[in-house]
Amino acid sequence: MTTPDDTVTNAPASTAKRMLLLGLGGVAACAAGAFGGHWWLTRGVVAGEEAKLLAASFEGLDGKPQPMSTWKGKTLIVNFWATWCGPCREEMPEFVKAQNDFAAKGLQFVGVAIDRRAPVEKFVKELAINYPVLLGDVAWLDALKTMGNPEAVLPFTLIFTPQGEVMLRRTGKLKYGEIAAIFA
Amino acid sequence: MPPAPLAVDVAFATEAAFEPGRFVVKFDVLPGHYLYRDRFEVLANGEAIKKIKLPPGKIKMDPNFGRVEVYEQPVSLSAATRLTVSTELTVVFQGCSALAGVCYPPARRTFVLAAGAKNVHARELVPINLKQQFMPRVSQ
Repeated sequence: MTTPDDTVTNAPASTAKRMLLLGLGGVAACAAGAFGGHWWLTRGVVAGEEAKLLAASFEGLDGKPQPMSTWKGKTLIVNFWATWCGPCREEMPEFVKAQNDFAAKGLQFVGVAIDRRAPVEKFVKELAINYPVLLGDVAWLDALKTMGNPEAVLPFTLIFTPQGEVMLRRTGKLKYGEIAAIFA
Repeated sequence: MPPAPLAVDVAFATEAAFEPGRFVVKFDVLPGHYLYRDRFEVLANGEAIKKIKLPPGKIKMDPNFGRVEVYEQPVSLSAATRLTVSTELTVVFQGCSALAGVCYPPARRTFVLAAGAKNVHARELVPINLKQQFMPRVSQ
């Protein structure tokens, strides 16, 4: 027989623990701010992992493989997103504007959707997205853990210099002003 | 700058209890996080259980998805089902961190009804990797 006490917990969270977890998060954020950096963005980063991304090929919405090497020599912004992710959808109009404004200065956005084709196609059409949107296998979420996204959340964005070096890693929204600052 | 996202297991800790004829899964939801009511799925030995009980959520007008129901507080899901020893119960859920401005991909937790020394108890299977966790939901 079973009883309600027959429980298993993957992470019991008492009220005290809940507050402690959030408190630690706040302290970490303050510390990050104080040192002018964001320590968690380099947590778990394995040097050279992004090279795999730049060497990879993703399926385009036309069904053809699209190698990332297509955009070699550009200031490349690779944005991992999904249609089921609200914050991802919210930041994309700013990406469309940035692509318009800075394409002549060498900016190239590429969206990698961890999603099914149909909703991606619909959203790309609705927003009139003006940069390539490719389809990524969910296995890429695991790969992103070593590129500055230890919890494999979305959105996640990497900015590469024309030489292929990582200029910025971002979990959460990337703002137009931050992109504009690169080309100021 | 928003705080670093917490691990999904920390943001939404789960706890399963098996009772005769039904099971209950409790999700903790840390402040600043939320779960979507319409994105829960439950499978018993791989077969979807269609009738699951969830309390009403908080109605939110989402700029992306329109009217959605979310849980910003701990919530319990329950369903009536025949459970036998070695039944594998899988719960799929999806949520976001308003604090960090990110969403977690659909997460999957599997509990096994196993014979214990005195009582039948639930034992959680540890997922191997994200590909195994999300493939059925995302790459279909």
